[in-house]
Amino acid sequence: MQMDMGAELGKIIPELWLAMLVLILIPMSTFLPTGRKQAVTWFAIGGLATSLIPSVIYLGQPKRAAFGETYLVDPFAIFFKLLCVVASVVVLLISLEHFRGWRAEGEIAAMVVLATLGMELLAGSTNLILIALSLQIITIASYILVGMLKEEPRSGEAALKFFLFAATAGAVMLYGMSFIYGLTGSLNLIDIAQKLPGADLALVVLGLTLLLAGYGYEITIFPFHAWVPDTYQGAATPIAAFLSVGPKAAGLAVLARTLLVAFPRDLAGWPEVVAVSAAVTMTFGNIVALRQHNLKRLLAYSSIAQAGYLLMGVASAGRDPLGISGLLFYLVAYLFMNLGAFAVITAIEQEKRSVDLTAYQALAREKPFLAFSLTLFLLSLAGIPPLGGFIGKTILFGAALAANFWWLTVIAAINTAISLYYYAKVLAPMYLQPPAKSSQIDAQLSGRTNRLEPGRELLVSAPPSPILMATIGLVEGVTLLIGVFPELVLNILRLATQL
Amino acid sequence: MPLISITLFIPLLAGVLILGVPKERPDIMKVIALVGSLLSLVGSVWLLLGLNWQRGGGGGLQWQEQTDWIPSLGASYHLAIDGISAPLIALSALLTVAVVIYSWQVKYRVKEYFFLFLLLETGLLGVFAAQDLLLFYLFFEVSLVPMYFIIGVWGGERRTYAAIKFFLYTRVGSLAMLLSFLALYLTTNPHTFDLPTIIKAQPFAGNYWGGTLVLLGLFLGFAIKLPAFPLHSWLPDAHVEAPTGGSVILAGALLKLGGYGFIRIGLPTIPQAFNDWAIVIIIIALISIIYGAGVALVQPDFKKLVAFSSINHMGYVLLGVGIGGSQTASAAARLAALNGAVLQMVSHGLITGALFFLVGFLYDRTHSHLIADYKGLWNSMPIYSGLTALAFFGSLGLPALSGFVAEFQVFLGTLAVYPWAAALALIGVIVTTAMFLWTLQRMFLGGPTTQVDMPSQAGFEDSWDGMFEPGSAPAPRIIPQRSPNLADIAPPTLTLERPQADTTAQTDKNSGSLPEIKRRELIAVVPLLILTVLIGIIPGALIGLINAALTTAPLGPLAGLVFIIVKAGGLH
Repeated sequence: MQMDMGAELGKIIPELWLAMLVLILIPMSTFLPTGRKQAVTWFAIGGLATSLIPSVIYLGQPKRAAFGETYLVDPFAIFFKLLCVVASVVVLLISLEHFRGWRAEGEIAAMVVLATLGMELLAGSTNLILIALSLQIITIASYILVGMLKEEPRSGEAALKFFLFAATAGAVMLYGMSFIYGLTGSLNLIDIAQKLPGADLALVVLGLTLLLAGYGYEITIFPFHAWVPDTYQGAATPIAAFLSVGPKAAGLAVLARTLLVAFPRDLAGWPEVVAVSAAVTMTFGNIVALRQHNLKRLLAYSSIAQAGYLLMGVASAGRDPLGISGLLFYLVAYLFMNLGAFAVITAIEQEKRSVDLTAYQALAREKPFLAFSLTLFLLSLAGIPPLGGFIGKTILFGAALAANFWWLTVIAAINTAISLYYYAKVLAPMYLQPPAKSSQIDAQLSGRTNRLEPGRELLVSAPPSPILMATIGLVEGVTLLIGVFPELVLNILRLATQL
Repeated sequence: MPLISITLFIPLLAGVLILGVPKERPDIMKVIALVGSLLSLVGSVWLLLGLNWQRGGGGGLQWQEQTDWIPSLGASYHLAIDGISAPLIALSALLTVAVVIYSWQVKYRVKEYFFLFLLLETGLLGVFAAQDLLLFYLFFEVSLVPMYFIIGVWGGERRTYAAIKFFLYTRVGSLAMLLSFLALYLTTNPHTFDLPTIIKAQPFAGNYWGGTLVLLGLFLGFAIKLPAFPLHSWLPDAHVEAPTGGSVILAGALLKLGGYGFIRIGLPTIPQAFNDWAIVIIIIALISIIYGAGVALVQPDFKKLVAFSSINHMGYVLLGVGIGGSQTASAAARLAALNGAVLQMVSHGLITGALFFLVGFLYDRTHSHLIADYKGLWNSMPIYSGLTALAFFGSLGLPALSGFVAEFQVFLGTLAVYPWAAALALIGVIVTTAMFLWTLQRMFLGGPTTQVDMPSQAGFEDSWDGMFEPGSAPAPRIIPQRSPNLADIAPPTLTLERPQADTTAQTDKNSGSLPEIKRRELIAVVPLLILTVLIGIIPGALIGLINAALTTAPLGPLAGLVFIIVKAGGLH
């Protein structure tokens, strides 16, 4: 196919920009002395923020295909790109203080940008090979991020578990893709859509199921969620925050696109399949979260449950336009509330060197701002108005009802009620209980803390930095703002809901 | 002028201002709270007096405010009030003022305390004014969170348990309600959350199962809040553990959200389903009435007694709703029952609000809720005892007090349709009467001495510290005391300070008398009782107001109440 290379590249300026940024960041980090590497992170934040500009310009333009229909620049993809970049910027802001003075500080920023690039590519891919490739970029960057804390055994364990899981899931996904290719003779989602309805249904279902495994581990769909709790716990807290938002959003984007484009009209009953996995995922996440005392594990299970709510949007999307709106709106809300919760945990971890619930006793007296912020984020996750999570859940519930998944809506409502219990379990020690004695925190430190390197500066507890506090305040403001004035987000969404 | 919005957001504004006041100046916080709640009260009275009380066309939604909120979801910021919501708004505002005055003594986390009560007020007023289902839901939940913290932070010993139980219970109900709202939203074309529009569209007309499911969701939401048997089990715990101010708002205003929701949203949107299931609703109401009265009768705990009597009283509200929804009844009977239900909500708010204050006053003095701990209170606290007796009589439905007027109308409506139901409900009245009279006899009459036996205090003796404000009236103060020897997870114990001045005033424990009701306490409770008497003697004005709302659009026609207008073909 003949194409004008310059014009094609003009459609992917944000992606090129990010690729360039990674190439600059990696050498930059090695040349800077330890202790001054924070400049790399700042540079990455600036670069990521700049990449928003071309994306925003693209948002107003009609959808265009690039590179022979393998890559789409449409509002849906751009919306996800914006989302992923904002998530990465917030994560880097949270991680600034956390990794300060550490020798691999710069590489973290580089890997976050690399993963962001993968997510951007994934959101726009309409070709199975490109999808597989983008997923690999995300996972490879994620392995490095998770395993970065080499001296911490838990970090290595987390990275290994993550790697084994991702590798297996990736292989299974490729196997599924080969079925679909075999059935249709095409890797392009639009071509597949034309030929797939004529193919043997059993093989289509098989291909779809295998494909879901690959997407499922990014989105953390049950039973492909198993890596999540250990990986989140083992990884540094800002990295866990990143994993809980970025890859999940990108995975949902590609899932929605694949199902809606390549499997037209409920082919192979995919809405039911997704609805059932949504119900199972949210129920599993919520029930296991009830017993968690480690906040990172609690949020890990909570994020599995949240993935279940998000899947409701995908399941309903094929039957009612409200589905995509719900998915996108809830993702925006989820991004801010979940990153916010992780940011507070990072701040507390820096000060008390513990992520256990006991470290949160009487937090309302010691750190009223942090306690209030965490309350707000958790209430938003629990879907309490007037916060972002509430409007998101309402649209998702409405979408599922409109798509005739009334049973799913009832299950989701019950789940939302259950989830309040463990979110309130975190609120109770902060407000309702007296401070823990110092001996208890010491006891926690010996076992369950998430230390980085022995002898590192971080071991000396430090109050959260002004930047971290400002980030928390900003994220908090957005969570409240999109809850009170959801129309701000919905206006953007109206452009993005066309696939 | 958007007077509803102003009334609504003044408390929130005051609350935010309080957050900005430095910790060392609790006096400023209290003044801001008082001014904010008073301004809101003035606004609500203004709204009430500004209503058009004319029947038939004149009594509909007034003070309308409508602006875009989420146009892409068909939700708007639509506020309006009528004769049903205005009295409840005024009631909530009044109770908040009373609580702020009573809470002048609070010393523990003053800032959060007043912020939460003011936030709660905004939520309550918002629910009563919202004419958009999403907005209604938003305010409904906004009123839920502060109460969780009020119970959880300032409550009694089992407060953590009671708070989470309250939170989870009402959350389950409100989520069920949300699903029903969404069903109403999705079946109305074009999709909208606007309540008057939905009522006009009647999306579930002729859809038996759809209507039934929507009713189920709404019933779960509102009946848990009410609360009706068997969904009531959060209430005794929440009430007993909540601090006095929390109990007052909980009983006085929060429970009304359930009854109000039934009348504002349930009856007009799915009248057919309410008709189909009227008998079930009536039976649940009867069980609540009898069960609440019976359990209250055997309570050894004064506060629990009042709590269970609330279940009894709110049962009449549900009975009124059941009769009001039953289309076999004559329009006159239904109107009477609904009138009674609304009036009962106002009356119960005043009387039970006052009762919880009175229970709290006694608790402040002795740290005991046990009826058996008190005897012959009339001798030492005649004014207090007189006020309590008045509240008791109001609660048991003595004529010339508001409770009578309300219950009488519910009975009147019931008697016309289901005489057996009226007869059964009468059992509740008899038991309640017996209970209050017996309690009066046990606590206030009898021997000349007050025997306050507080064995539980012995263990806390050494952890008391100086929390009594020297120079004020000699009443003991309660603050939650962090006892160092208690396990970290155990909730802090509430300890009571018995100041030196008090001990001397009390001569000694055996023949000692309790200090009489104080001025601040009087200011909090007397207005509620005055209104009880006023409504009891001249109920006409309030009934006229409620009637006007019930007989005009959007409520009236669809419940079949304005037969004249419907015949004239005016509104369909």
